[in-house]
Amino acid sequence: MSHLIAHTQYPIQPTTTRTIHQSQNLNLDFLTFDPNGIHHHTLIYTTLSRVKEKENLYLFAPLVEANFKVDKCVSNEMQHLKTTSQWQLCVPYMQPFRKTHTIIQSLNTRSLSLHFQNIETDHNLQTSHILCLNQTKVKTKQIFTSIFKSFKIKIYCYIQKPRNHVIV
Amino acid sequence: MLLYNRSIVLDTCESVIMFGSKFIIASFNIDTHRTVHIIAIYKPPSLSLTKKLSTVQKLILKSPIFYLIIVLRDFNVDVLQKKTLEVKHLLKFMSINKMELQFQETQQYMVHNTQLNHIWSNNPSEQCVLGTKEVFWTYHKPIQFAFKLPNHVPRFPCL
Repeated sequence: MSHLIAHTQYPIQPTTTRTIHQSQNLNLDFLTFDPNGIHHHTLIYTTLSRVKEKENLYLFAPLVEANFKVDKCVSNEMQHLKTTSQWQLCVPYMQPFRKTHTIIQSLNTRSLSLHFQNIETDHNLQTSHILCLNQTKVKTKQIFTSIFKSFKIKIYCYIQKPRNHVIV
Repeated sequence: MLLYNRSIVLDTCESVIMFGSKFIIASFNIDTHRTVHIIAIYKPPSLSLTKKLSTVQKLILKSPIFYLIIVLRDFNVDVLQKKTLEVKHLLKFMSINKMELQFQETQQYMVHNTQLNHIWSNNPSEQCVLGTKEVFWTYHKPIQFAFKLPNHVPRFPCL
């Protein structure tokens, strides 16, 4: 007499889960996270900052900007910083000098290629005749040039790699 | 990277490697017969200044004499701490090369009671304006140096 026994085996079964609030102050080697349905904007940061290396972070959904629910106050403040406040605070400060003086500005930035949009909206920086920008993470020349071409500020020429090199 | 407004003319530009980084040194013709030479350098805190002063001197000697500006931004040498050896070396070195520190100890130019950004010039003018500003997208503060040469009216960079 023969018996037929059927058994369904799932390859992976979750053994433990933990709420975001419980995982605070933990350092995890691996993390699997579902960003869908997170209603509070600070919870995403709390979760993602638990894992030690980003290679060990597994997501159920891609982390695109639209998935982040940003507080309306933060959005409004960023918009305010990008537009109104710069005109109100910075440009009047420059007003007495911009018609009579030659202006040089110098700034140290990280990952400059990511900040072109910020420079584009920063009217304060744009009032200078010469703008020295140092970058700590240099992208390849091709990527950099293509980003700069899409840069909307056409009043500037740029030098990235001079042909002459001084050996001192 | 160096951006310059189309209202001024680039004369020469060169690159130099110092303090483990590559810097651009440029000269601009601000009118028909006057050139401004700009050297902007950053020094990381881990590297010693005194060993590299000879390199800076070579750069100064190579520069045109008329108007030289040295921008030391985030230079990690606090010139307010005058008793430290590094500052003594720097001040002595700059005075030998006839460079003057612009606007010492002004409140607008200090960050948390330190002065790590300095601008040196060989043609000090009373009509210089110096300061730091805030930007929201980086924690570094841009520094600004505005100067006016006699009988020169710059073309305002149109936005």
